[in-house]
Amino acid sequence: MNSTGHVLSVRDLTVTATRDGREREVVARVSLDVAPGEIFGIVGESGSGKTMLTKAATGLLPGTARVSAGTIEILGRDVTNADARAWRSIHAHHIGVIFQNAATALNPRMTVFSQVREALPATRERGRLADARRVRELLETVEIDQAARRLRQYPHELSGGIAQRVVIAMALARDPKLLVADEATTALDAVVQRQILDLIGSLRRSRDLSVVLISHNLDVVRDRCDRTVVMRRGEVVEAGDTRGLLTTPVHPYTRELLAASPSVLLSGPRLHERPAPPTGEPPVVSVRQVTKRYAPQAKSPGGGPRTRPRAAVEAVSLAVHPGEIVGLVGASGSGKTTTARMLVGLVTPDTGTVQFDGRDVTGLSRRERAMWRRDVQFVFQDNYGALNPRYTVAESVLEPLRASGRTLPELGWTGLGEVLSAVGLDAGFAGRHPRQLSGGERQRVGIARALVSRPKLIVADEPVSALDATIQKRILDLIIELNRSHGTAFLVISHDLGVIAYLCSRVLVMNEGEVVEHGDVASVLGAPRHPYTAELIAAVAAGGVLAATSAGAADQAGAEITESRRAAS
Amino acid sequence: MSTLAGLTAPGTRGRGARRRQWWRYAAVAPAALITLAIVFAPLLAPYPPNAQDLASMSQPPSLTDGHLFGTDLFGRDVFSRVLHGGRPPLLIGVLAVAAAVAVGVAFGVLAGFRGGRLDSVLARVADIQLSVPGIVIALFVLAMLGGGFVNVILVIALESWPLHFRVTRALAQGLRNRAFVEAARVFGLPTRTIITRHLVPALLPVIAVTATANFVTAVLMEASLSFLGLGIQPPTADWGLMVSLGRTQIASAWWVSVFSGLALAALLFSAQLLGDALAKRFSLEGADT
Amino acid sequence: MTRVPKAVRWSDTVRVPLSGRFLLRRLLQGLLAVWMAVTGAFVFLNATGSPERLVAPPDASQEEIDRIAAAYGFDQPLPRQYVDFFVKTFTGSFPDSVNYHVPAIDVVLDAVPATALLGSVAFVAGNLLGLLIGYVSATSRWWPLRSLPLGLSRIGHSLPAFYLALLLVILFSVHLRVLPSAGYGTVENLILPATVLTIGVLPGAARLYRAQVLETAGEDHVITAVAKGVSRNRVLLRHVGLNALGPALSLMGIQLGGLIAGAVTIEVIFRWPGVGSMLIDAVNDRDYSVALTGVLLVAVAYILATLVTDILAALVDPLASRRA
Repeated sequence: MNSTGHVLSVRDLTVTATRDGREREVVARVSLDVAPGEIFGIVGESGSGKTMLTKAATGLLPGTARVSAGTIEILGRDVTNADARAWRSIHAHHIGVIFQNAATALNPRMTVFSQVREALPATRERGRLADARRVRELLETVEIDQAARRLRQYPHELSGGIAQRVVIAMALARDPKLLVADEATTALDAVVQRQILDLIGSLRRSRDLSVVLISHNLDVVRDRCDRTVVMRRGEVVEAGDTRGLLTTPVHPYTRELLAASPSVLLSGPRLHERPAPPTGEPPVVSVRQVTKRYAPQAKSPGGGPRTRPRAAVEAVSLAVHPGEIVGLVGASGSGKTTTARMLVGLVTPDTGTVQFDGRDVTGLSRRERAMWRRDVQFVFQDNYGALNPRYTVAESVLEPLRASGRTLPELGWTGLGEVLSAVGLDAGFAGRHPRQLSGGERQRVGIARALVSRPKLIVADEPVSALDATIQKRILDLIIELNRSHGTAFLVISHDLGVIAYLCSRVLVMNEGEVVEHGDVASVLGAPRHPYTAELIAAVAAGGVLAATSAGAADQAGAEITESRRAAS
Repeated sequence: MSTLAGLTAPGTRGRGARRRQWWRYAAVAPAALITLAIVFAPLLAPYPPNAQDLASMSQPPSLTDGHLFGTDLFGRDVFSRVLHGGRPPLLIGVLAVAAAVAVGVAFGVLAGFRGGRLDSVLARVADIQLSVPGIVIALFVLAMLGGGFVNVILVIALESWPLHFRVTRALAQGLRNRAFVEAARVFGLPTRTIITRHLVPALLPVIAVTATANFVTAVLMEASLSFLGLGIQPPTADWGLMVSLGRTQIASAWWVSVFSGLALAALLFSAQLLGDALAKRFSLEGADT
Repeated sequence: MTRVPKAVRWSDTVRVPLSGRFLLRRLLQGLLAVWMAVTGAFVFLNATGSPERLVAPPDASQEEIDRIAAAYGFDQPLPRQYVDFFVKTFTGSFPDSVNYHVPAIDVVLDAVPATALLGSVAFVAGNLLGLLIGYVSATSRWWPLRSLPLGLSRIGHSLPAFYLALLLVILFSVHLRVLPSAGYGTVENLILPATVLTIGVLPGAARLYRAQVLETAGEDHVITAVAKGVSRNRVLLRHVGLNALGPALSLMGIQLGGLIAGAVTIEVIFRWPGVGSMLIDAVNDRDYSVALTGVLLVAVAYILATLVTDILAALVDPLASRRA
């Protein structure tokens, strides 16, 4: 151990990466120290340089990037210019790395045993059975059930949570001093995510590990990390004790990030200023007792792999009235997307009816059907795939008019510029292609395309789940804005309770194809009656307790945003 | 410090490499040159392809006596015959590929966009067809129907359509589930419009690549069949046939076979170059389709 | 929760990546393909309306045609013919060869060993060399190794097999006089035809494997292996090379079609007494029984060979059995 005693020490590190033939600084003069036994958080959104920083510090930089200045020390040893052989020994003895997507981080061709075995220390006596016992112990250390049975399984036979535990087992195989977890839980469901984080926490105590936890989500570092740095555009904008950072953030970006985190959204200011749900008016669309079952996949002759029937929708009823924002929340596979797709005719229910304007859609005339197509629009989750890469923004946004045969003036727009400005884009975007847009801009185009035919209702399927938190918040504010200024009703589908709480007046909670709870947001979230709802709330970063600690900061940020929204409208 | 230095494919450069450089179009030149020479063979050839001159049989190549590539056993000018000999392979290649593309794309769009039973039947038929080597089908059919221009085209088209079918079907299937196509359905655009506006533009570059690859195999097949005596019949000038005719005299008159074979190899090679250039170009652009 | 015994058994650590279900499914697919191939031949034969005319010599009299129709069973009702066709296919009891006056199946089977020898030498040599070149050209740190072998193999690829054969004969038989230009029975006889066929197989395998290796090298699990502290060569071999082998193997099976096509012309050029020469003779002599039996045999052999390569692919790639 060196004089400073740090496990990892990074000084004025600059990393340059070559893209499009140009060199760019992706990490700029970053310094940080990780003490023994500490959990250290690095928070930043996409493009913040947090992944490149970690890759540089663990010797895993891709060929297109290099360290151009600064030093990296691991356990007091300068590894800035270490060659492949030296790094190999460091990987083998001192660092364990956990990656974001466990499903692809494991070799699909090798069994769990052969993969973990490769990570065992080379000095041990070789023997298949001895190795197998050791691998099994490791699997038990990371709390994998039926460890002996897992040895001969392939990665594709494991769930995401188990696969991530196997990756952790490999990282721990040589008793490293430092564990680096790069977005290790992002791809997992909220409940599994918490279990993995708990596991990392307990391993750190039992094995005296230092942990670097990299995440885009402030809630992940919130109660796990001793110290945290916030990164943006390659630089550290704020660093310090995690609690202090979250209660009294100094940098505006940290504040914005904080205001956009799910747990703060959940208890954010919107909760108190939400308008009462409109009543009396008949619903725009509704589904009554709809059921949809997906048959097992078509079998090839001789009986293909039997897949279980996919998430079905079971006797779901739901109506959206003019001018309201309704939320539909549930985990992946809960049937919420299928339900949403029925409302716009992308999925036909097996039983039950879809009604538009009070009439069953199967009995609509050609004209009424066209009305349905115009009045109920859809915004997709996959905002990149939702736009044809060959089309310009203008072509995409105007495509619905091609179907309805109407023109912009007929619909009350002065021109394309007005449509774009309604979603916060300037007219210069009209000629751009999707790949020239950021994620948030693409989602704005998706909303503009839905908005152009002046629908009464926009169904938005996970409209922000692919976006960074601060961008998410801006899109959510856009939805509220459109709801107020255009009177458009929204049905928002999300797995994220924070999003729902921020936007909606009414909420339906779905689990395994059924609506388990519904009501107005304040009462459902304030006093959940169904255990599943309670579990969902708990999963959003332990809910109220933590939100309360940062309530001051959140209120401040919330007030700022409310103000800027007011200024915009 | 790169972990796996040297493991970067020339084709995996970033977007910056997309800048259009003139030499990217150079791949078209050899193929175009050869095609022009074949098409304008009657103008370029010094002799009619079948003009026999029994006074000058089996003359070796010479720069001076008017027979650049020499003459064959019947005293026919090999240079003229090499120019004309490209017409059957070129014509058969183009027509067979056109037929295969037409059938393959039509079925592929139908199967990929509709799905269901029609799709599984068509896919099954294509699979079976691919499970029997093309040359075997060709031998069988030509044995029954006899060789000749039209039959060779039919046989090659029959062998080739599953290639285009599979590519089109896969693309259509992928596209059918893409959000922007679903979005178009939500607006109420009819399927016909979705196909012409979304599928066809994405399909064209892919078909350009598969059609070029198919052209290479088609020309090769035509040459092999003619070489075996099952394709173009004498006395028509045809590269495969000429290689076969000269084969018996390679010890005494190598030039009869060698030049026509060289011409064939040149056409195949230039078409491959073109195909590779197309594939490279479109795979860079198609990265986000 | 079930209690598991604490000790680890040997059997817990090994796994054969083949499921009975995959084997069964793949076998059924093969059978279906055979059935379709035979049916296809039957349909085609009858699609012209009068198969006996196809079979008979062009100058045959009506009586002769009737006699042929009776001998082949073309005068029977179609469903009956269809059943008979299958029986004849699988018992090898099509009428005797018109040329050799022995059962057609005997003529065909006589030709099998020669083709099997030539084909297997070329298949094994071509694919092994192809894999090697593909691997080296993808992973070597020295640019000449990365590009030269691959470039050379591509030039070989654009030469049609029959033309390459001719060039080699001119060089080695006519000029150098070191190898026979045709014939069968000795190792010298095998060298030229096997070389030509090998050159036909090699470039496809090389390009395919190179592409697979490069694709695999970009996958996430390769970084995991590096982060585990596994050496570069071991990562390249075990995590990249072996992983890329499965998809490459499946495609090699499909490339067999090209090998067969090449073999037909090569056998004719080198007067190699294999199935290819036999088929061409039968077609030229209008020896219908032999041609049909030969075509069906090749189809079955091809289907079998792809079956074997698919099973090999599944052995090195557990995901292959899910793709099939």
